[in-house]
Amino acid sequence: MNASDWTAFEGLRRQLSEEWPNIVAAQRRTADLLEELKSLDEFSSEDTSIVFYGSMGRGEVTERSDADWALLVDGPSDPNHPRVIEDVRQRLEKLGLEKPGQTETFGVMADSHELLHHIAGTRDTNQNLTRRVLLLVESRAITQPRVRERVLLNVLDRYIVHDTVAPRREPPEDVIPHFLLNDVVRYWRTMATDYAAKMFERQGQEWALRNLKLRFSRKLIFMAGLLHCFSFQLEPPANRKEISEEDLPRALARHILTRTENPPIEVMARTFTTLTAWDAARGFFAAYDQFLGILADENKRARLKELPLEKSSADDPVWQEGWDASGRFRKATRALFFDDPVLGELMVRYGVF
Amino acid sequence: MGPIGFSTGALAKGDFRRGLELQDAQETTAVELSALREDELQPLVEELSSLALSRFQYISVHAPSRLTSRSEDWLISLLHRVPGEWPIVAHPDLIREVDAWRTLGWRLCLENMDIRKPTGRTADELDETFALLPEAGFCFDIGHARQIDPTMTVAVEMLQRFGDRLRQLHVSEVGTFGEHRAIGYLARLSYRSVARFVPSDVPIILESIVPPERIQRELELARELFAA
Repeated sequence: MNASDWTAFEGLRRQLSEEWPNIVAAQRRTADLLEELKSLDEFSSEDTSIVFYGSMGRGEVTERSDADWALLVDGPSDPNHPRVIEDVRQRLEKLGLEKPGQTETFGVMADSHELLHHIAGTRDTNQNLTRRVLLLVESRAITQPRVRERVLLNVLDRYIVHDTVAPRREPPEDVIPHFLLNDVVRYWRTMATDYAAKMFERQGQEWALRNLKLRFSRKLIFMAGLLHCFSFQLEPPANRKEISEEDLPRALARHILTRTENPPIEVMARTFTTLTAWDAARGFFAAYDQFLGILADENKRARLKELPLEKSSADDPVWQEGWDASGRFRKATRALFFDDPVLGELMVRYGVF
Repeated sequence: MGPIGFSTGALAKGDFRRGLELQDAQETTAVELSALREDELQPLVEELSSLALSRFQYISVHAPSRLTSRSEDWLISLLHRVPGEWPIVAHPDLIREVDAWRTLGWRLCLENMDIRKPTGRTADELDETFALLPEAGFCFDIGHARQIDPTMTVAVEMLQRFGDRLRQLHVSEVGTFGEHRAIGYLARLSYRSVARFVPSDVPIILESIVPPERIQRELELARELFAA
């Protein structure tokens, strides 16, 4: 990621005369890693894209092990697809990047057909929902970015242009992608319930680290997704008045596509700036900066990983640090989403029901 | 390794002089002079004697892929003006007046086709045309074969059945809509699996549509794939 990815964030940082050093350091680490990952170009083919998610996708790399990725396929089946995946895996291992987690959501093939045609309904699995929403909110194509863009266009088209809308006498007051919004909310609740499920299955293993990630980075994904959905209302395009009712769905899909180019931190910075919510911005980024600082600290991270799930852990100083920061994060989030008259009204009207 | 080079059509469409010029820096040793569109053939034939071709070990000509306003007799008579030792690549679905095409004898090279064409896509379909033109040679288009069948079973079958007719290779990656493009990693993996069926001295003609700065890389990839 380069400087142009962080225009709003940098602008906000200067405006508020803040440092937020851990966020900045994470952005630099991401840029360095992206430079190394250019060697993956060797495995490039049209119709496939090597896409990174997680902290790489968000531009927040805190340690070198982060490597959630998938081979996004948007073309004919090829018996060599598994071979490409294995070759990429081996290359990432050589670069010192660890294999993705246990759920097999990453480090595998992601087929655009499923992402596009299995949205909601009985065939939309947890994995498919995860891959789709993360593609929208926290993904970065290392090879063939146009493939990622093409898939996103198709997915947004499905959510918005092909959504079945009840007939109305008047055009809607607000331009909201309801289907997409519902899926973003569903994904947030899925992340939260998945946390509970994993804690049960794994008997509380790594509960502290996962809990903090849920309170911070997972919640950030949710917020960015919500803001994508509200973006047409909060920041309408310059030619809004010229867009006919018939062309509105396509314009909305295009509008949201351009926003998906921004990592979640940048989406938040842009919103804080648009709404001139300076106090909330300070609280929000200071808390998130602290969270990234904990993750980047090898000792703190290791401590959180090993913290036993028992009452005494509540007093652990590292856990307390994270817990307190999450409280300030929650407060700033609530201020942003509910104190602003426009965004607050959108949240109540569309975010709750 | 046999001679290798580009089709002028891949680099510069109907501008064969530009297609030759773009290969000068790479010192390619093979070239296919392309007249894929009907109206490109006459200017090519008329200017052949003025082209600087002495460095090429292998030269072929690609006939138009279809005829809309001209007859096959007209086409064949023009093709007879091409120097006698140069193979002429043609698409099987173009051939209607078989007797006229027979006059080209061994010089005619039938190319296996992609998914858009009605025939010539598999060994069995090509067999039908070779039965009518027994002297004809074979231009194996590896990209077309992969588009028809990514497992390359069809490719192997063609190479095994028509190996003794093999005159040249067309090499590129072919997309879903028949577009020729730079050879990607998946295509390379597929091509590697059949390279051993291709004799090392067969001329290679690249059809990848690439910008000038990519020409050398494509040549290197092809050499790597088909080096003995």
